[in-house]
Amino acid sequence: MSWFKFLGHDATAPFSGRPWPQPSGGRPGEWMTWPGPRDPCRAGLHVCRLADLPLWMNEELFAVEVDGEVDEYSTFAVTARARLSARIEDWGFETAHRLSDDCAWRTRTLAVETLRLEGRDPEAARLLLCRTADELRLVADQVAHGEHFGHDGRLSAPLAGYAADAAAFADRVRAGGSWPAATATTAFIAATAARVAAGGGGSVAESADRALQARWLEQQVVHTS
Amino acid sequence: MSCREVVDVLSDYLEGALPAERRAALEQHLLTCENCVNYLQQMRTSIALTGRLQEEDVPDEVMDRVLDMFRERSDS
Amino acid sequence: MAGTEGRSELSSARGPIPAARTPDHDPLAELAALRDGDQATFAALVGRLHPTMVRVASSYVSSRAVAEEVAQDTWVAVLEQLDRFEGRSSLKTWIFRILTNTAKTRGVRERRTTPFSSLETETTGPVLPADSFNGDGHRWAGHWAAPVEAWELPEERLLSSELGRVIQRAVDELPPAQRAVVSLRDGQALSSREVCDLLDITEANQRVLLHRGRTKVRQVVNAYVGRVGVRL
Repeated sequence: MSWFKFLGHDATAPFSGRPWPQPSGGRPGEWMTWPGPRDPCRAGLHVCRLADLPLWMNEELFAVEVDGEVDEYSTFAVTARARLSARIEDWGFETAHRLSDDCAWRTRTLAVETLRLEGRDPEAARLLLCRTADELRLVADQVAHGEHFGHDGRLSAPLAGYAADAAAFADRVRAGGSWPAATATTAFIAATAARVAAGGGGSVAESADRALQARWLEQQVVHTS
Repeated sequence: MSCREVVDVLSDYLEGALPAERRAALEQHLLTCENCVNYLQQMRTSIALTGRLQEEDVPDEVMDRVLDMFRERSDS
Repeated sequence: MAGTEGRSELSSARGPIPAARTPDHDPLAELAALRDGDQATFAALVGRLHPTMVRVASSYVSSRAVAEEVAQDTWVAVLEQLDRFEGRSSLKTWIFRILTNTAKTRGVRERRTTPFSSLETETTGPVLPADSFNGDGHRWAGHWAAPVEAWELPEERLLSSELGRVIQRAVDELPPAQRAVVSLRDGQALSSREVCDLLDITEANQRVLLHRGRTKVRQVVNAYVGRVGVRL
């Protein structure tokens, strides 16, 4: 099993604010040891699996080596002894930018399909003609006609809205600044759009979209396969 | 998790009383929501400010009275 | 939601404690000094606890004046019993125990029901106004309807007596049970266990009361920040 850790700037844990010892010169970081009993999300060293990566995106990504037992939960795992074995250099602004674009265009595809299903072919065509995230944001916003679901259960307006939102955040990633948060948000919007588009069994579609994101990270960033 | 849910469980989060999976969902939400990050920080500031209740002034006449009692006790 | 990106440095959300608390003192040395008749130590203790004692007592009795009497009666009892205090709890918890017992007795004499006998009215309804969040038909239902701006309070504002009074009034205006819980937990830094024991409430009720009270205090500070226009 491969373990990973997303951290903030300078390998700082995002919620505790504690820095992890960083790998350097091809050598892993120092071992971190949690002395007391493990308690998920409160006590212990928190790591994640490949499939969990899209939920925890942050500025720096590391491969993690663990020693001993690992308690696995639905979106993370906890262990008592771990170290950052190597920085995953292919994660950074450039890949985050491509991932967020990927999410935005996938959300556009969902919006186009939904518009067609609901007989709004001309608007679907307008969305399809968009070539940049900025253009997608403007056009999708017009197509959304406000932000509310129709009383008749029609989904095309909110889906166009999600496409506009995803494009807006993909643009923020491009702008630099706080690109890790904007990337995480774009991925969240794509998963939300998938859930809403699927209607009743939406959580399966949401998980499937997250799985696509994880697969993208595996192929473009982590290179385990 | 929605922002409304975050607000509803924020004290449980700060108290360490949120079940693990909910806590994870809340933290995943924080990674994508500046509004909730700001709200959480406001809550922390507000709690710290409430700690300043220990610096309130006691009215002089009250302080004088209890200090008199204290001196009487020490003298007896 | 959504609207806004999150900052990448979430750890900054923990932030520094903006107001200096009374420095931690050695409880054993404090107790010894009190028993020795050290007036400065006693005055410091009264300064730290008395306003909160009045506030907590006011949750049980009919008026601020009666609450003030309860607090002063408590000091009488504390001084009488100081030599018998065994240190099984902290001095502070022991004093608040005497206070709540005194306040309860006084409340019974006034034929008042305790604020904790019926928590229904203090623990139902939304904690924030319903229009703080997008409604059900919105594609971001349940997410903030308007941006939540960071408070940018310069330190002199944070430490100002004006803001101190804003907080005092906010806590004073809480419903009785919330007022007692917030005063003891956040005002005096007692643990949830200690507060549950003192007020004779369950851990779950304590958390709900604390949450609701804190949320209201935060709203008052938020209104203050908006009013003084220091939002940058």
